[in-house]
Amino acid sequence: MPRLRGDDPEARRALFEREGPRVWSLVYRICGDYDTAQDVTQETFLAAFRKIGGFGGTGTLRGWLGRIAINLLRDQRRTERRRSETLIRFPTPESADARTGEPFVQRRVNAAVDALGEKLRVVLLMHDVEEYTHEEIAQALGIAPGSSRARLSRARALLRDALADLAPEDAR
Amino acid sequence: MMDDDDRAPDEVRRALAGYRPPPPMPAEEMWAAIEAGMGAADPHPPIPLSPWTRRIRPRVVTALAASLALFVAGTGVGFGVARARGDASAAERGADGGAAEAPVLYRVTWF
Repeated sequence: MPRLRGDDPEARRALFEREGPRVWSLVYRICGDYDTAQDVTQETFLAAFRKIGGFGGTGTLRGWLGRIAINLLRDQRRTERRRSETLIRFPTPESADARTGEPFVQRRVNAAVDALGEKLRVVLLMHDVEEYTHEEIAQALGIAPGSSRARLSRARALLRDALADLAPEDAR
Repeated sequence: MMDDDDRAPDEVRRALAGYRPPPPMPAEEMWAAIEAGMGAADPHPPIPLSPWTRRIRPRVVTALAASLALFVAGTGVGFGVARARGDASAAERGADGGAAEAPVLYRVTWF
């Protein structure tokens, strides 16, 4: 941390190499778009390096980076929404093609996760896929750790219900 | 009942891992962009604060400045309204010929 605050390029590079893939993975899973994920991940680290002095040490660096990334994604979405009011948007070929080649079970899982709604989906992906702790999720989303636990519990329950017919007989 | 602090069961984790699996990160391309961005001017440079204001939160400073501006604007409007009313009542008094002058309740004098 002191080296990062001291504007050390090697320390910056090390942080990017360590945390970059995690931020990239999280952002891509939330937005599902390559270009957006690239822009947001880059902007996250740019903002982090510029504001590293503002990181007070409360929470983890990972949670702090997650917060920056989530806020940037929200900004991006707001801009997209404004733009979509004036432009007719077509589904991107990448997203359409990516889904058709998936096996049946994975398609069911994807549909169930999509149906969760953003609040629950983000917590589920952060906790169960990207392995953020509830404290880090709370830090990233600006919510209480208890809310993170509650959202995860609700998301898992909804997912279980949606995929109940896929579970083996003895597990039902 | 599953404890939410526990990891999800492996089959759930495997299924979820297949949800929008991220492609390989273009690390070098991104790092080059980050370095270029670090060299460029910050589009949102921090506002330099004097040492005493640096100690308190910038939001507090903004809120105080906004309150002060509101107070000054309100006082100005208040004075304007009072003066307009004063002019109007003086005009009414003038129309009455000054016969029905309102009683003076108090008066400030300078010694």
